[in-house]
Amino acid sequence: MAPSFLFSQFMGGLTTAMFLFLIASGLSLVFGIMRVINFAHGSFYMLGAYLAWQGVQWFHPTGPGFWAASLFAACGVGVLGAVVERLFFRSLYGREELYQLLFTYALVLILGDAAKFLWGTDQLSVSTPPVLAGSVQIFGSTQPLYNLFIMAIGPLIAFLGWLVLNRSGVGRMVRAAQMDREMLDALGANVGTIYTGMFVFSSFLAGLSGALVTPIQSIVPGMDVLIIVQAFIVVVIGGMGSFWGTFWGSVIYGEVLSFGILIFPGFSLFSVFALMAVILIVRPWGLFGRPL
Amino acid sequence: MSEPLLTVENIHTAYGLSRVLFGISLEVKAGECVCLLGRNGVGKTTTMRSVMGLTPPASGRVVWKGRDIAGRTPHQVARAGIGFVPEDRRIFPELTVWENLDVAARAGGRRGHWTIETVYELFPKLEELRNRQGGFLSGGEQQMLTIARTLMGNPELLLLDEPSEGLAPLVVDMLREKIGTLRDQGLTILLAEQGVEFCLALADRVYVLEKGAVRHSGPAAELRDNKELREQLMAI
Repeated sequence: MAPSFLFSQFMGGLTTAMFLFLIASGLSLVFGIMRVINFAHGSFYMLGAYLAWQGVQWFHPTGPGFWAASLFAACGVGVLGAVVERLFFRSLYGREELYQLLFTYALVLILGDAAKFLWGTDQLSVSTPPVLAGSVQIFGSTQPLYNLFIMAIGPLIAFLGWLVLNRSGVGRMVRAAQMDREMLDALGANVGTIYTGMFVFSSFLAGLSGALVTPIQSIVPGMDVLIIVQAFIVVVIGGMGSFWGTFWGSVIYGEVLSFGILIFPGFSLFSVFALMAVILIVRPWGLFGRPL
Repeated sequence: MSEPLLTVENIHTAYGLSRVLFGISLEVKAGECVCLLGRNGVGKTTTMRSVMGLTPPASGRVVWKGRDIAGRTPHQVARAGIGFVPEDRRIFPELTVWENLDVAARAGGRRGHWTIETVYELFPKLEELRNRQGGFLSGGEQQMLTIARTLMGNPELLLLDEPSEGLAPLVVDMLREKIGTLRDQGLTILLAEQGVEFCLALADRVYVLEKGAVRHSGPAAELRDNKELREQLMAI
């Protein structure tokens, strides 16, 4: 196989990876800090995509409005996250996982139908913003600029997230909440507000990912469930709640999918599931996770 | 005379169906060091958790500076000026000593005498250990840190739950001295203890608890001088 072809596969895998990272990091963050498995995270992503499409129609259907629409979508989903957390999630903390799954699954159904009601069942699409519409040649392979943009934004968010968590006062409070919620509360911190903040941030990331995917994927009903399965695989491989685990889990997922397709064409997802099974046997808590 | 800083009136507290406190009443005046004395399981910790709002009492009142605070959340109680040092220390294990203190200052949001510098003066050892993770400290070091951490919130009343538990005699002596320093500086303290000696060395007044109720209350001096009474109460 030609090196340029392998490189091209590698870059394709990396695009998938960094994209998934944006989504899975929010899922992992909420689990890591609040111990809630938010099955509706994929629905927030889907709503982000629909809201971005809507925003593009409103702001500027042919192009430059894309960035404003993305921000609108991310903020819109963030607000929805705040409402859902304040009204419903609050009573799920510390409850059995089963209740959390049932509730968040109900949310998946409700939001899925709401999206069909509002935007119909047809495929919708958004064109690539003009600035990033071109492509460049790297090592003899053609790379769309938009893919490179996605590849850059994943590590950027990972690095910023790491910096905030480990080097800022807010990050220290969040880590303390993760370690001992009750103690932090007794020291005078309103942990409820910290939780809401984290949930809103996680929803914002989901909405942003949904918006950013629209130039490369069409918006269809069912994209919520498709993505949540992938995001769960990433988080399980990397280790639930571990920030870097999610990052490397995404990279592994993207690359295994991308190269697996060469080895088992037609069974590309098989290689990912096989990998997940092996990792779960060897390290049930994921690569970077910790035993619960 | 002066109003008590804290008055606990006839509180009943339960964990689910298991009732622990059966009408505890006590009061702490400003500047006093009051000790709750009693064995394991008599309700010392639960009394503190009830005051703090961590395990709210089912009935009764907790009056702080003239206001009923029963039913308030722990962070509201903390911000009103009550600092809680839990028995099991509850250091944030993956934060460094400095980070533990910094988080507490942010959480408490109360300015006053206590800052990173002044708690390092009280416990110089913590300054040496400032970059070490809480989980890697010895029991004594953790106990210093948990007291220092609560002080960072500049409380007016310190709830100290069994600070001497499980520590070596030398460390216990050191802690007693430090708590004595805090008391002499005018900090109001409610101390829970199993050790009579530790309690009587520090306290102005003592409440002896038994099975979730106050069995005896009076000046510490009375217990110090009256060996018979002391033995009678401790035989419970």
